[in-house]
Amino acid sequence: MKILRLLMQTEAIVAALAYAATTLLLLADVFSREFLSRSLWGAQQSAILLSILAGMIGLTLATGRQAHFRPEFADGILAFSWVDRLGDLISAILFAGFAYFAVEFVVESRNFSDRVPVINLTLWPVQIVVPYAMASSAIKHFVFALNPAAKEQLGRT
Amino acid sequence: ETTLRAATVAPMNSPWGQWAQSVADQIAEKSGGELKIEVIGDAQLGDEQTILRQGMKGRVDIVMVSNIPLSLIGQEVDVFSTPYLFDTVEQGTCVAYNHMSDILGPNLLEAGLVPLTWMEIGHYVTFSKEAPALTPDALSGKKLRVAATTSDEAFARRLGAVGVPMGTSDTIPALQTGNVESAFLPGLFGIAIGTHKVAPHITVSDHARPIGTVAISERSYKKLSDQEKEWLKVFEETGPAMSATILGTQEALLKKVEGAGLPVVRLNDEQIAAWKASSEGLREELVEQLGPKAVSLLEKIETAKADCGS
Amino acid sequence: MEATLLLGTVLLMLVLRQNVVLILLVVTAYIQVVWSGGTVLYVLEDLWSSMDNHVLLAIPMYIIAGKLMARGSIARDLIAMVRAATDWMPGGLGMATVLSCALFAAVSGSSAATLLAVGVVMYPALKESGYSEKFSIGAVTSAGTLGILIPPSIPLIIYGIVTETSVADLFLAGIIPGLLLTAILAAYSMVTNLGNERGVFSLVRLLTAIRKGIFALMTPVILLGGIYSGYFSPTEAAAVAVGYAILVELLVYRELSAKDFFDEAVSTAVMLGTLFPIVAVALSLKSVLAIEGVPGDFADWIQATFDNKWTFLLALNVALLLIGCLIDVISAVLLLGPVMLAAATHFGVSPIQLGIIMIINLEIGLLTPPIGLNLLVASGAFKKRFAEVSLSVIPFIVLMIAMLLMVTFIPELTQFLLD
Ligand code: NA
Ligand code: NA
Repeated sequence: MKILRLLMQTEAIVAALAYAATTLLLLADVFSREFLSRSLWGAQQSAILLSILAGMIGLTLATGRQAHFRPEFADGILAFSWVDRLGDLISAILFAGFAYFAVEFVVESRNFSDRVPVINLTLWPVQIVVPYAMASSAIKHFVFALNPAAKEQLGRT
Repeated sequence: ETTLRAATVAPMNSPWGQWAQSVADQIAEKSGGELKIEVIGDAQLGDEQTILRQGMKGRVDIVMVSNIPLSLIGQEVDVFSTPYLFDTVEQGTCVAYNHMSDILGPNLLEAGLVPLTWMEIGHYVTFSKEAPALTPDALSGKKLRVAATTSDEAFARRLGAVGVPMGTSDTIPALQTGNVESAFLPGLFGIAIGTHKVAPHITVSDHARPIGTVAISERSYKKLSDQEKEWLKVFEETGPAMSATILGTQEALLKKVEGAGLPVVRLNDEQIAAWKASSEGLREELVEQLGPKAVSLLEKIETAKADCGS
Repeated sequence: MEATLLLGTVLLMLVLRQNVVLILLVVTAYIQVVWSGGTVLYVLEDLWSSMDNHVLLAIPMYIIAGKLMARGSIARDLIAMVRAATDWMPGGLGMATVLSCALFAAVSGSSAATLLAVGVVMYPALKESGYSEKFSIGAVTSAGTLGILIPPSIPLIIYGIVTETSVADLFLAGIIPGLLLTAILAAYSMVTNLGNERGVFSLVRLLTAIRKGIFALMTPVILLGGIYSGYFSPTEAAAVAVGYAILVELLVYRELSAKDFFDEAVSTAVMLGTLFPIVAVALSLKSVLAIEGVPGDFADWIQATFDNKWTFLLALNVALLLIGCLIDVISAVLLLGPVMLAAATHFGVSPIQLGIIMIINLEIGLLTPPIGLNLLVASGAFKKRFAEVSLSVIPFIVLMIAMLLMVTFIPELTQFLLD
């Protein structure tokens, strides 16, 4: 529980830093182009990568805060308290499944030495954020399934 | 019966789309329907980068892309977009269709692609809002749309222009708002998407002639029979004719907008010399910056150029 | 059989309380594997390539900017300025509410942000001055929707992405309809409240408010001025908005702490974390649909069904209004944008006009039950029953439908600034 909270705080810091850097890069590019007559080469590509990073971390933060949209109209069909825990267990399994394919996605990207043009950066180390976000979501749902009280508390983080 | 899916961002009614469809038709006829090529154009499967990535991984079988996304497989490929790479049009055509497989083939294979033929993009021209760029100093201090390649960036810097890298679809709005004042674009493509309506001064600078690629995913290629591989040679056979069509269409379109009263400026020898002088030594600089792979790529290009004559 | 299995899976996931992101990921994986002969890997590839888009970059930036301005003094000063200018007139405070929403809309990309930023201040003020409960809540809830019509607008950015239409042009096209709707709502707010308590006009108060609020007032000028005089692209303008908000709050008001920025950045990340996968999945489905030729078939069917442009446009509006009752703006734009575009092109409706027609319809959708985001946000923020809020917006919906018909049948309203 403590570990999960620490994890979410770390994720929040990474996401906020990524957005701060995105903003600064875009502003620096505009400033450099309009006032120094020179584009900041690769600023846009870097800003996109940073915002993808923030967005993917946001996905798992949203899992922790239970912020994902969830249609509730069918909740009454199985109106038992254990359904919540079962649901979390299934979510954990599904996210773990997607994490598995996300790892495969990164491995493929590495095999094909996929890169970001202009900044000439090898892409796969950045793409690790995709399996990370999926796996981190899976872990959170798994903890919720084991310990519904944790879900209550983390939702307020 | 085998069906291969070919992806391109080119509109199906453009010369590129029509060529792809005609190759598909010829292959269908030749193979008696045994081998079918389904052309998915109009960027329906995403931008050029996405298409190229899908081709590398075998998600689409055949890709038709310009030189721009090829820097994904190696930044050194940017050498092909450097200004005035070829001495004459004939030399460029000869290098593309007789030597390119030796020059670029290995790089493509490393990325999981087997080249089928090379694709003419046409010559780069300069679209400007206010005045033509008779000599390249006219672009000095101006905001200029360039492609997101290291060679375009280096050239813009040489000209003293503020090179703003952007995709082709962002170019027209950027010209409209004044985010850029001029744009380097392939002439045929630029006119086809209507760039001249917002930036009517067309300087026929012909300063670069990028060559694109038509390639099949190695994963798909391995599954084909020898007979099927044979049928695919229609791509290679019709490549040079497609190149001639593109160059001819570009000239015809320029004449057409000129006839409609648009200021199309053709450069005299002196002006062309000034344009060429502005890029002197740039290629060597760029190659040094890009590293040993680029050096050897340029060596191969120079050998091919010598072989083709001027 | 395959379709039944898919439907069954979705229903089972709903019963087992799965979230939308997982349901959509599973649906797309199913479609890729079963119908398109691919693998689950493709879903992840599409997730990445759809996020790898510089236009999408504008969305988190506008959200952060809007949040910072709503939290800090910018919103407060904008409202104070509008009030000083108008609340001495008969019905002036009602008009001030609408105008404040319009001004805040010009710096915010979302309708909920606009509603909250203005509503928190104006709703109590209206009630204190004797405006009816029904009007007070209806005005802030409805005028808040101007946030997505007056540029910048997140739904317009998304429409631009899925239909490959210039975002700069879409923003420009939204200005006249946005100002017209503002004028209509403001006039209504004024004439229905002529008898209410009025303020006293004070030139000193007005000048003080303008002096204090000038930085806030400059925000839309800088953003739109910057875009249309070529200083920056719509994406960059979003970053400029964030930079400007931070600068003003930091240097002029000195009320923004690093912690505030941190909190807003994190809540934006969470919001994007819920939104990104949905956008990605929609784009992934779009390419599957494109391969299967669905948009073309739909366009053919539309063409065969409606014999002219006008009946088509009327039917389009009725359909969008109904859809707007049920789904949120962003999903509607993602799902319907490309399909409707194919049909509209047949009748010579420009992608720009179609975009604005869609946005106004979906703006009304923010006010219609059962799923109306502004209704939900207002009933949460002002502690009112959902039904009460839903009834309060009815007169405003009628005015918005009138505006919608004007934009539908007078293409010049969206085209004028583009020419
Ligand atoms: Na707005
Ligand atoms: Na609704």
